[in-house]
Amino acid sequence: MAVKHARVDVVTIGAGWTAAMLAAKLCTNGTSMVSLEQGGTRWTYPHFAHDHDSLRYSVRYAMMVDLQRETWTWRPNPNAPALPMRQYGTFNPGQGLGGAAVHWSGQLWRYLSTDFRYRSHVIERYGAKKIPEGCTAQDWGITYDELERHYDAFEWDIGASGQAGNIQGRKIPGGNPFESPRSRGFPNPPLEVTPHGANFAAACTELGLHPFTQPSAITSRAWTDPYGNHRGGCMYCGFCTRFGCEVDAKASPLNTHLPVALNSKNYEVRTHAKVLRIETGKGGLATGVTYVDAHGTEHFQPADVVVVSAFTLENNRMLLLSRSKAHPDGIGNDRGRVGKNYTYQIYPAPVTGLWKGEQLNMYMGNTCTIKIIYDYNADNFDHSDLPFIGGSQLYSEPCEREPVNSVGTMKDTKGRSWGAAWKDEIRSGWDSQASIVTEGESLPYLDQFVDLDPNYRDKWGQPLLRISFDWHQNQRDLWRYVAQRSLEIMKAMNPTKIVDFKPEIPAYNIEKYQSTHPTGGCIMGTSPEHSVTNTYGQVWDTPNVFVTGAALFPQNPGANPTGTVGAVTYRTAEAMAERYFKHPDELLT
Amino acid sequence: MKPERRITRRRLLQRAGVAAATVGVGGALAACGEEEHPAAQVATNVDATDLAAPPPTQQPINCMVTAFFTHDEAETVDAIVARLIPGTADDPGAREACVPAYIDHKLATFASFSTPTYFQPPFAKPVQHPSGPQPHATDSILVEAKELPRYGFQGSSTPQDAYRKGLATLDKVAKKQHGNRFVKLDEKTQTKLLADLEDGKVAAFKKSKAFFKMVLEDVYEGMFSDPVYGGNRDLAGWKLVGYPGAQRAYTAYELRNGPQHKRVQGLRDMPAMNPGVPQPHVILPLAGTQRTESR
Repeated sequence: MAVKHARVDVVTIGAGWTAAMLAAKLCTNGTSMVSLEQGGTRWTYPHFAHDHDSLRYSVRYAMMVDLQRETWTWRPNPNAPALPMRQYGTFNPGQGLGGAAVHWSGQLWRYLSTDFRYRSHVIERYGAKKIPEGCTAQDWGITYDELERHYDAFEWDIGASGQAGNIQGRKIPGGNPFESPRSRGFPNPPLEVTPHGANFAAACTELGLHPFTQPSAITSRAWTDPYGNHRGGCMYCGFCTRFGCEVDAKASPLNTHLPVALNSKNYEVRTHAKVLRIETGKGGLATGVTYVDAHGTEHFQPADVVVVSAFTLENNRMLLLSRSKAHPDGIGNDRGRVGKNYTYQIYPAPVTGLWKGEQLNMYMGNTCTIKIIYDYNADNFDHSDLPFIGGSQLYSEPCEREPVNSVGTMKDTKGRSWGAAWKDEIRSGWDSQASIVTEGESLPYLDQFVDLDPNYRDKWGQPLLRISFDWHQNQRDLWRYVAQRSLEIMKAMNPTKIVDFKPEIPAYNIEKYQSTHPTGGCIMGTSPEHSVTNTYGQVWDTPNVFVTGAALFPQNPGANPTGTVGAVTYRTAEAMAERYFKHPDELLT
Repeated sequence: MKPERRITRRRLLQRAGVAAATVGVGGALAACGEEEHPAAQVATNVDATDLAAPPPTQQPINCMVTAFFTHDEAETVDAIVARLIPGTADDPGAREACVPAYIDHKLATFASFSTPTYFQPPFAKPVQHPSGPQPHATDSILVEAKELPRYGFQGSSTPQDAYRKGLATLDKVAKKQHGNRFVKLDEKTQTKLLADLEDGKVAAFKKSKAFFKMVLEDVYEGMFSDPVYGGNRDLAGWKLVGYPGAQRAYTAYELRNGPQHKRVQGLRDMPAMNPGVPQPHVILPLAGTQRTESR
C-alpha cells in the first residue's frame, strides 16, 4: 500500500532547472509545490570544492543518470534491432538536485525568428517541394517576438555573458549579426577566448564571415543577480562540462532559482524519489504521481497539477508509461502523437589541424571561451541552389581538454593510438592540434521517433525508452556543405598540416558523444492533430498536466536548447500564475 | 542480486545538514527515503550522486600488483602496458608510471564496472545478415555484425572476467604462435601481437578487439588520471603531454599566452576552498556501480 502524502498545488517530476524556475516564480506567490528528484542532493559547497578530477567526472560520469538503473535503447530505424546504451556515449543526461543544468556547458542561445516558423519560412522562400520527403518539420505556434521578453528576463536572471549583435534592430559590431533583435544587451561582457578561437576569428574575418564570442551562462565577472545570489567570475579552470562549478560562475539551478524557491517555504524537494507514473482519475485528469523512495517504498503524491519536468527522454517515457482507462496509450497520446518529431543534432568535427610547436592552451577555459559563426546556420545563406535546407554553427573547438579522454583521439602515422610513435605524437602535439566543430540542425522524420522498448526494463521493472534515429539525406548534404566551409576556414588558419578531414558525415553511432540535446517527442503546436501540447506545454488531452523543456521543440535548430527552454518555461510560469490557477483544468489560449 | 550497502541515518542527516547550511536556505529540502528504516538498504547506485565523497587520500606507496591479478597475470599486464606506452627511467611510460597497479587496484575495488553500466540481458549476438526488430527477444538479440559497433559497448562479461579470460587466451595464443608466454617474447613480437589483437586478426582470440580496447582505455586511465588513484606516478603522464593538472584557476592572460609559473600538480595540491567550513569526514566509493561495501 502506497504511502499517501498531503495534497499540493503542483508536483513536478524531477528537480532540474525548469522545475526550479516554476518554483521560483510560483512558490513565492503562495503556490505549494513538491519536486521528486531521482538523484541525490548536491550544492556548490562542499560538493564541488574539489572536483577537478577527470577520472571521476569525465570517465566515470559521477553526475549522470546511473545507467545501472536505467538507460535508453537505440536502433537506426524501425526495421533494425534496438540495443541498450550500456555505457555512456552519445548523450549525458544528469541526475541529482538541479539535473543536467549543473554539469552543462553554459552555451546560451536564443533561436532565430525563422526557427519558430520553420515550415512556413521554407515554403515562403523556396516552395513546399524544398521540404524533404517524410520530414514533419512544423511551426512552433509561438513567435520570437512573443518570447523575446522571456529570453531577456531569463538571461538577466542568470547573469549571461556575451556581446549583443542586434539591439532593437540596430546592428552592434562584435556580436552575432544574424541574431533576432534583442530589447537590450547582456548583463555581463563576453568571456575571454583562447588562441585557437582568436585564430579562427581572424581567419573568418579574412574570408568575409562574421565571428563573435559564444554567448554564455557563465559569468565573466563577479555578479549579484536580481534575487540576491552572489556569483563568482569564471576562473577558466578547465573543468566545466560534466563538472559542477565551485565558484558559481556557471549558472545552474543551485545558484539561481533553487535558493529563491526554497526560501519561499512553499517548495519542497524530495531526493532519491523515482516517479513511476502519473495517475489519472475518472474524468481523465491527473490526480498526482506514484513514486518509489530509495528503500523501494511506494508513495502517492496527490496534486492539482502535474508538471513533467525531467529530461527530454524521461518526459516522453513518463507520458507513455502513464496508462489508464482514460488514456490507454499514455497521457497526451490519445492521438498517437507522443514520441513523434524526435530530433537531435549534428555535432562532430569535420576538420582538425596541427600547429607544430605551438601551445594552444586547450586545457584551460571552457566550452564558451570560443569564437563562432552563424553565416552558415539556419537560413542565413541562400539555399536556392543547394540540395538541402537548414544549416549549422561552425566554431573553434571548445577548450577544457583533459588528457585522459583526449590522448586516444590522436594517432601515429599508422593510425594507432599507442606505442612509441604515438607517444611522441602526444608529447609534441597534444596541445598543438584543434578542430573546427559543427552544431547543425536536426529535422523530424516519420521513421524517427521514441517509444517503449519491448525487451529491456529498468530497475523498477518498467520498459526503457527506445530511440529510432539516424541521419537522413538532408543532414548528409548539409554536412558535405559545411565540411567544405570548415576546410576553407581551417586552411585560412594556416595549420602546419590538416590531420583529419571528414568530407562525409560519419555514420551515427550511440558510442561517441554528440551532445546532450535530444529534443521533441512531446511537441508543442496549435492543434491536437499535430502536437501533444499547446504552446504552454499544457497537454491537449489532459489539461492539468504540463510538459517543460526541450521535449516541446518540434525540431532542433542549430543551437543549444537551454536559452529557449528557459524562455518557454518563463512564459508557462506566467500563464499559470496569471490565468491557469484562476480557471484550473481548462486549456490556456 | 545486486550488491547493496547500508547507509546510516546519522550520516545522511550530516550530509543533508551541510547542504542546507551551505546555501543558508530555510526551505524544506526533505530527503525523502533517507529516513531510518528497519532494513535500511540503499542500492549502491546512490553513490553516483554522492559527490561529497572526497577522492581517495591514500595513494598506494609502491607499484605492487597484488590485489586482483595473479603473479602470472601481473607479469603479462606489465608487459602489455610497457608496449602500449613504452618508457625508460628517464622517459617514463605506463610501466614506470605504475599503470599496472592502477588497473589492479581498480579491478579489486569494483565488483564489476567502474563506470555506470546497464548490464541486463538480452545481450547482442552478431550474425551475418540483417536481423529485424525482434520485439520478443529472450536469450539474445541478433544484430548484423557490421552494424554492431554502432551500438557501443555490448559486452556480456565484467571487466574482471574479461581480464582473467583475455590474459589466459593471450598466453595461449603466444605459446601457439611463438612457443612461449607473452611476457617471454621479444618486444617487437609483443608489439606485433598486440596490433593483431587490435585488428581482430587472431582467429583463436575471438573477442580480441574488445579485450584490447578495454586494456588500452585502462592504460589511458592509469597514465593520465590523478595520481591519487595509484597511476600517473610522479605525474609522468601529465608531464609527457604538457598538462599542468588540477589547477584551481587560470587568468585571462594565461588563457591567451599560456600558463605562468604553474607547477604540475594533482588534486591534493589544490588550495582548499572555504577552509573554515568543516568537511564531512565520509569516504565513499567513487562514482561507480555494483561495489559491495561494508561499513
